[in-house]
Amino acid sequence: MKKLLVIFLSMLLIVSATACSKESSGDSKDKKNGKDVITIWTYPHYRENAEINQKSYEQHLQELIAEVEKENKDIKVEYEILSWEEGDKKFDIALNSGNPPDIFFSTMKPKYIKTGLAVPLDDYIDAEDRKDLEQFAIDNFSIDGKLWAISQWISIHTWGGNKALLEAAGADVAKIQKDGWTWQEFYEISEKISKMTTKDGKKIYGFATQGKNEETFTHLMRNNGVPKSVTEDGEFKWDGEEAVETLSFVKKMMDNGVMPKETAGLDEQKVIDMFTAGETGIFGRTGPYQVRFNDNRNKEIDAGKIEGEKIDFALLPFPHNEGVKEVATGGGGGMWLFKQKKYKGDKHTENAAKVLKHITGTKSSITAATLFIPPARKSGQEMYKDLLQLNTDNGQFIKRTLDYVVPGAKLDPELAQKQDQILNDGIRPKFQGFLAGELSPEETVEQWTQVAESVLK
Amino acid sequence: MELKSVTDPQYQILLDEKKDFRRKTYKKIGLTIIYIFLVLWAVFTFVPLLWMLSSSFKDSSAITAVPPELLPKKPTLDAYKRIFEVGGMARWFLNSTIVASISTIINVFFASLAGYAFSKLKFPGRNTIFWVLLSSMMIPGQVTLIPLYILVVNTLQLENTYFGLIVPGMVSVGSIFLMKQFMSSLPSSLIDAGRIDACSEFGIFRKIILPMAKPGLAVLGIFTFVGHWNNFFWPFLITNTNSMRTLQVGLTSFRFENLQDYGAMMAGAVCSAVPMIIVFLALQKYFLRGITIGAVKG
Repeated sequence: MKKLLVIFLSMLLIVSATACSKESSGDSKDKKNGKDVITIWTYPHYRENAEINQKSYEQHLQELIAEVEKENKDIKVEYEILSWEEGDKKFDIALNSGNPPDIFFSTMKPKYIKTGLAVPLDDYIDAEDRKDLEQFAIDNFSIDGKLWAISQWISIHTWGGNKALLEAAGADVAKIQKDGWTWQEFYEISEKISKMTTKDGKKIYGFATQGKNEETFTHLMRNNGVPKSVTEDGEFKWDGEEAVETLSFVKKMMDNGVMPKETAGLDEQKVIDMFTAGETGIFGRTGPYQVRFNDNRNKEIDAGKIEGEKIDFALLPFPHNEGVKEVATGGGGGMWLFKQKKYKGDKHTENAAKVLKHITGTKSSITAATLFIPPARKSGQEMYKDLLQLNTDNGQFIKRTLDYVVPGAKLDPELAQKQDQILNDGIRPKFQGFLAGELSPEETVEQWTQVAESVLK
Repeated sequence: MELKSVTDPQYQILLDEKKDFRRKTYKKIGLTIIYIFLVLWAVFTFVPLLWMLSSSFKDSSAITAVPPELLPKKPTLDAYKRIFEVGGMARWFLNSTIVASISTIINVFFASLAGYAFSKLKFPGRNTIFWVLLSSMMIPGQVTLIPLYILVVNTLQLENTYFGLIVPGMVSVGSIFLMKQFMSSLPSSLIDAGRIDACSEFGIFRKIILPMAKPGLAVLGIFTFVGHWNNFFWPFLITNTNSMRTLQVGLTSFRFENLQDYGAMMAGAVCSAVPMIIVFLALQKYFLRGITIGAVKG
C-alpha cells in the first residue's frame, strides 16, 4: 500500500513537472524567436455547427490571427477564450494587478479608462476607417472625444412577435417595423391577441416578458422620454410622473390579462417557451439573433426533429408613448487596447493596435453576421448582407433601428457603483414588489426614489 | 371511606391492548409520515441528477422541448462526443485529477503536522500563533485575491502551470483547525510512552499519531479533494490555454452568446460528478464521521 502511494505520488509530481516545463518552454521559444507577443482575451460567441457548415468563433478568430501573423512576421498573437460567467472578474483582477492583456473584448466601461491603462485608439485609426463605422459604434465607445474601443457589432434590443397572431389581431406588421407604434396601438393589438386561445384551448397572452429584473420597464421608460435612470450628473430620473405612467401602463396590461399576472415569476427562458408554444403573441426582450433561432427551429420541425408549430417570426420595435420620440436600445462589445503597468514600449502598443485593427476589420464582421447582429462596419454589412438577410422585412427593420439607437449613460466608476446600489437596493426589489401586486405604481416610484436619494446624497 | 378501584382483569387486558394498538397505530402513522417526507426528499434530490443524466443523452432541441422529456425519446451520445472531441474533456479531467490529488496529499500532510504541533506539542506562543492563524480565516478571499494573483502571476510567473494551480492551495487554515481538533482527542499517554522509548518527534508523529488519526485524515482528504475538484475561480484565473484548464473551468466554454450548449454541459457535469459519487459511496462512513469532528471533544 505504501509502495503504491509512493509510486502514485512520484508519477503525479513527474507529470506536473513535465507539464510545467512544457508550458514555460513555449514562452521562452517566442522570446528566442524575438517575436512580440500580443495577448487577446475574448469570449466564446458561438460554437461550431457542422450541420449548417458554421465555424466556431474561435476558428474565425484563428483565421484572422493567422492573417495578421502572416503579414507581420515579428508578431505572435496569443489568445484566450474566457468564460461568460467570470470573464469580467478575471479581467478586473488582471487590470488591477497592472497586467491586463493587450486586447480585451468588452462593452463600454468608463472604469477601465480611469485606471490609466486603456489606450485611446484615435492615433491608430484613420479617417476612412472611422467613416466605415456606424455612428452609434463611435458614440457608444467615445468619452471625452476619444475612441476607446472598436465595436464589432451593434447589439439591438427588440421585441419579437408571432406574425400570424399579430395579423389576426389586425396589425400591419410591415408598417410597425417601418414606422414604429405607440403604446396605445400596441395595447389594442395585444389586447385582441389576449382574447384568443391556442388549439388546445389555452389562453394566449398579448405580451409576455420576464419579471426577474426591470429591463422591460427600462425599454418602456426610454420610450416615454426618460432615456437614463441616473444621468452623468448624478441625477435620478425615475422619480417623476413618467415612471408612474409607465408602471401604470404595465399594471393595466396585467390587470386586463394582456400580460400574465404571474410576470414576477417568469424568467427569460419561460417567456421564450411560451412564445414557441404559441401562448403569447409578442414577447420581450429579444434581438435580431432570434430570427436565426426561429429559422433553425422551423427547419428542425420540418425535419421532424422536434414537434411544434412553425412560427413566422417578426422583430418588433419597442412601442413609444404618444407624442414621445421612439428610442431603440442597443450596445455591443468592442475590442479595447491596453498597456501594462510595466510598460512594454511604444512599438509593442503599435503592434497590439495593428492586431486590434485586423481582428475588428471588415472580415471580422463574419462574427456579427453569424450571430445575426448588424456589424458595426458598413463594409461588413455589405460583405455579409446575404447572411444577415438585410433585404427581408426583419433585415430592413434592423437597418432602420441603427439610425435611432441611443447609447446608455456613461457613468464614472463611482457613479456607476451608486447606480448599481440603487438598482439592487431600490429599483429591483421594489419593481418585483410592484409586479407581485404588493406595491402600487406611486408607492413603487416613491420607495425607490427614497433609496436613490439616500445613495446619491 | 377509601375508594378502591375495581378493575376486571379481562377489561384491563382489553384496555392495555387498545392502548398498545393505539400506540402502534401512532407509531405507524409517524413512520409513514417520516417515510413520505424522506421519499419526497430523495425524489427532490434525485430528480436534478436524473435530469442531468437524461439531458446528457438528448440532442439540444430535446433538452429545451416543451413539454419536457424526462427520458430521452431518441438517446444520443453526441454531447459526450462533443465534450471529448471539441472541448478536450480528457485533458481537463487529467488536469483536475492531478491538481485535486496533489493538493489533497500535500494539504493532508501539512495540516496533520500542524495539527499535531498545535494539539500535542508545548512551545512558547503556541496559542497565540494558532489564534493568529484562525483569525486569518476572517479575511474574505476576495481581499487576498489580487495580492495572490500579483504574487503568483507577476512575481513568480507561475501563470498557466500546475505549480500555479497547486501551490496557493497547499495549506489551509481550515484543514489545520480540523486536524488540531481531531488530534486533541487522541490520548497523550501513547505519545509519552513513545518518548520513554526514545522515539523521535517525527517518529512519534509517523508511528503513533498518523495511524490513530486515519479517520480524521480520511475526512480531511475527502473534503480537500472535493473542494479542489470543484474549485472554479482560481484555476480559471491562473490558466489561459485549453490544455491547462480543469474540468470546472472547461465546462464553462460551452456557454455562448445568446446560447448554451446544455447537452455538452450536462455530459460534462455527469463526467465531473462520477468521481465524486464514487468517492462518496466508498467513503461515506468517513463523511458522516467528519460532520462530528470538532463538534465533540474528549
